Amino acid sequence: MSASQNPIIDRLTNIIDGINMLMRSHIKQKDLARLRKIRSIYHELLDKSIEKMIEENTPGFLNAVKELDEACKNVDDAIQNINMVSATIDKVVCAAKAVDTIFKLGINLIR
Amino acid sequence: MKQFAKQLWPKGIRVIVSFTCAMPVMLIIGCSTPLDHVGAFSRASADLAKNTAEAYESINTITVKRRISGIAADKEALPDEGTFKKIINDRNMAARISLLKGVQKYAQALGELATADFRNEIAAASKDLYGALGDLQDTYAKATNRSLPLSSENLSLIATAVDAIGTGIAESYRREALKTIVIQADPSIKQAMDQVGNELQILMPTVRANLDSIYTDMFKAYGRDKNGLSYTDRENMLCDIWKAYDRYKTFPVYFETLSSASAKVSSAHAALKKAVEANEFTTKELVEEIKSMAQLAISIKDFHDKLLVSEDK
Repeated sequence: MSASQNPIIDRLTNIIDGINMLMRSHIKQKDLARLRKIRSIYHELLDKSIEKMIEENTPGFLNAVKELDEACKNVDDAIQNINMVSATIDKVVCAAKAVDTIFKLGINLIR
Repeated sequence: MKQFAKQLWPKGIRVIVSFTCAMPVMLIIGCSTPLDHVGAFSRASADLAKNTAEAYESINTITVKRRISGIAADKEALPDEGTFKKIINDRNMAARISLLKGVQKYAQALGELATADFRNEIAAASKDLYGALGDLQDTYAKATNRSLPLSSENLSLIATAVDAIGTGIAESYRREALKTIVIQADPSIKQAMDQVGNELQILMPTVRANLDSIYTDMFKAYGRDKNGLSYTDRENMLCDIWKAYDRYKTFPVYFETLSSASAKVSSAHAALKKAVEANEFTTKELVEEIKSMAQLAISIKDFHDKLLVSEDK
């Protein structure tokens, strides 16, 4: 499995992995308790590093959200434009029907 | 542990994800026209965005569970407010979920534009036009005892021409729109998916460390408590440790696969952009990219299945 490309996070997780490996070996209860405390400190540091990274990356995500919303709107507009083709033919149909109706009305009036 | 597993992968989501992950693979096999490739890309991207959103949400659960496990393993430790604090707060999570939903929505809309069948609507409108002109011709003939200078055959030809021209215009609109939209959206898709891929890559060892600690705490608890337990209790505890071990081994690889798949969406979209810039809707490069996406979708499905097996033990 490749590294995360974040040296601080890689170092912290490597230390935690090492502590866990030690904890699983046959060690005294007293040492186990100490290791657990040390591990919790490293986990705390890891949590803080992740929170910081997430916080720092968020503006980039929000920016991309806006741009994607725009892209989605463009797709919807394009679909509407294409639907306009059949709508235009429908308008011609309506016009032909209207001419037919007026024509019939005119004939009835003359008769 | 069962509750934890169910929290991470609710059954409904698991079934949907297992099914949707297989979809792009089936679709790429069945692709027959260039625009189908755009559709296959869209479906694969939409599914990936959905799975990635779920993976982000699982990070909070895994972190809190590790804190709980650490406290449970230490008889002197007590929980506090920080125990249950989300590592990705609601605001930051919302930004990521919105982005992934945006990618999902964009991909679905692009697929809809690429594969929508506008022909039927245009054909129906042209048929209506034929009917309306026919009625007009009848009315004119009855009133004037003369025929319009258009025969039924002429009317049929007009309707057919309108149908053909309308379809041609719609297809031309479609291709031009796809081209413009793909070129415009490419920088934001690249930015979004590269950023998601990088974050997942960074979160992967964190997820591994958390799950390793949970597994280790359970492992040590067994060693400490086994003498006071019955055979059945020991067996149950060992099965729970087995599940924790499976999650510790599977989740990080799952995150890494999602990270690779996110980068693949970015490169596949770039290949799509390159294709449409050349007025092509498929290229060998695009087909290869979509195939890779489909293969990653199979891997994602495999990991889901492994996590399901781990739960059923």
